[in-house]
Amino acid sequence: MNGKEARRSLLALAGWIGLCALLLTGATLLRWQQEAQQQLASQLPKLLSDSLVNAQDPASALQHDWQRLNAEPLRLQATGSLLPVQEATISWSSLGSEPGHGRWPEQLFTWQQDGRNWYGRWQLQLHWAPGQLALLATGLGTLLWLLAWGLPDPRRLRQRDWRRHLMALGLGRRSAGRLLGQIHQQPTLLGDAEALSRSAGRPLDETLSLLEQEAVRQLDPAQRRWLALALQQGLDTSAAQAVARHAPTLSFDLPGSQVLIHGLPVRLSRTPLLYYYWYASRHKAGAPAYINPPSQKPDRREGEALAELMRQHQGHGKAIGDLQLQGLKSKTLDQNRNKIRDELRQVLGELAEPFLFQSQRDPATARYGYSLAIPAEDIVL
Amino acid sequence: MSGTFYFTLSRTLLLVLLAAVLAWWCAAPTQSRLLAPPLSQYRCTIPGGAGHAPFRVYLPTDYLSSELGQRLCRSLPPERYGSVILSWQPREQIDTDTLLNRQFDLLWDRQRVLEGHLPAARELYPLLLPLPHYQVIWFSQSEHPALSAAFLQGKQIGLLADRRSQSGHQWPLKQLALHQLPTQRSQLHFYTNRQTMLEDFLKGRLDLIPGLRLYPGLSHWPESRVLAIATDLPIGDWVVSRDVPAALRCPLLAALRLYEPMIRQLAGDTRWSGASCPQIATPPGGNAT
Repeated sequence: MNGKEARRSLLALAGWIGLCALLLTGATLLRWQQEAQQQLASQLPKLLSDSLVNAQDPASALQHDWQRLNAEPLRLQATGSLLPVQEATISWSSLGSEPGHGRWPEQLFTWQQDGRNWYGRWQLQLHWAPGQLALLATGLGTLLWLLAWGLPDPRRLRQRDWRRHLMALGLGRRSAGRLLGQIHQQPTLLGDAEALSRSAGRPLDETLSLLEQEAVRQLDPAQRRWLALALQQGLDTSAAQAVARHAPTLSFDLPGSQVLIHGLPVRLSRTPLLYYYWYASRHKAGAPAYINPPSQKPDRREGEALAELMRQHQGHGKAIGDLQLQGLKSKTLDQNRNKIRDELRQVLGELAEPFLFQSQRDPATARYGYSLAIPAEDIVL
Repeated sequence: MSGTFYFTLSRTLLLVLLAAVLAWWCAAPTQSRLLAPPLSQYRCTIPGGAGHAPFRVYLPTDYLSSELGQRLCRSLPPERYGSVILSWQPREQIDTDTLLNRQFDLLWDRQRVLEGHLPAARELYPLLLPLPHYQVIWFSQSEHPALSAAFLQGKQIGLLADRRSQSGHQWPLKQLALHQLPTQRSQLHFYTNRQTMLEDFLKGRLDLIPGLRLYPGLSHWPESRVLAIATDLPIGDWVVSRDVPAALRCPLLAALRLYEPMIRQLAGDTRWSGASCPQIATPPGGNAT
């Protein structure tokens, strides 16, 4: 149990004790009032009528009784050392032949004698034992608190499952507890971490501690997908975070035979890489989409330029030779674009799409032209 | 989320309900008892007498009781008594134990009652002041009351509920029994209080009540509507415990003169006993009985 949880438990305990103290006070007031009513109804008529026997004048005899009852009040006593009230006294504001007027908490007592009605107005004063009240409230409150703890609580049950889950992953009790604390503030944390752990093929404790970080928490959903992808590609957590926060750029590392997409290195075969580079250079230079040459008439001029580019960047001899001999053919272009698409999709999945090609039909020749989909300014050559 | 909320809410409500039930159960005043002070009592303290035992008086009625108490508190010596406690009810309070233990220092009762509880009771409770005898009468709403079945037919008769009352219970019922007058239970109305019985009689709710001439409203009741029950009944005597010093007899007698007008009214011309007491200005005389 962490500190916050312990504080909450103590607060709940105090709450239960307070509630019990309130309920006990109310119940005591009501029950003593009831008891006093019963006792008075069963005993007082006899007591008072005894006092009227042979009295010279009943009204003045009652007046005398009233004075006696106020000088030496009726006491209601109960046995039970734990009771919050063990004694109460009853005071009388009037006693006589008229009911008079009184307001709550004064009670009217009525009895009949010699065919006449007599009335008294009384009020109960409880003598509280604060120690007993506190003791009883504490006992009851603790009992209820324990009951509340023992009754099934969906949140706590789930938390227990999580803790078991986390401990099964090899986390110690303490760090599992700490993580559970985090989970309280961030209810989706565990689910996210599990999803990330699954998609990135990384251990749960690593993804949990990564997702706990404030900087990671602030990533938007798209950035999180890049984070997962980077982790999946085997990057360490800080490199993966760098990828997640990277601008959506495409840059080329020709000596390393790779492109960096959104900061994430993706290896490409040499020839498709150079074709990709050629398309990117055209796009960056502001050239329009390159329209595939007719199949019977390869583009010799562009074939020469591309062969030169390949020579500069250690292209395959065969590819260079083909370009020089036959020029740039639409079939070769299609093959390489497909290869680029396949290799990027294999690594990036759906995230590859913005970095792939868009096509448009040329109305004059009815042939298709292709260019990169990303804005030219996001390309770094 | 809402499922969890309702679950938690209903669980909490259940626990609060349980708390209320437990609190209700715990707060029950178990085996309670009502402690009442003696009501038929007058108390006063004797100035300067703190720490001394009280002087206890028994009398059968509250008539002038507080005045008597005040007189005694003024006249009893503070070096012996700390307070005065007068008790007047119930008459059953006086029994063999009360007399043997001398629970009262001064009491007003009839000799036959005291003797009934303790043979030769006077040895423990010597006579202080004998009181005269008096007359008890049936008062009737109709002319010429008679102890006959014909007269009593349908008459509503008021009586006192106090079984020890000589004038309101014992003598009237004994007289009815003596004349073998069957009365139905519904004809007899028992009152705890003489005043209330009198009020009902004067309002015409009762046809016949036993009473004394001294009751207000009955002193001038026509002779044609009264019938004697008994003419020579003892009012009772004031007796004093042997433990009370003889020197206190005179102050006690002086205090009891409070009842002189009542006794005179009840029994006619009566001489007040007080021969050896200079402060009692009545001519010396013997017993009035």
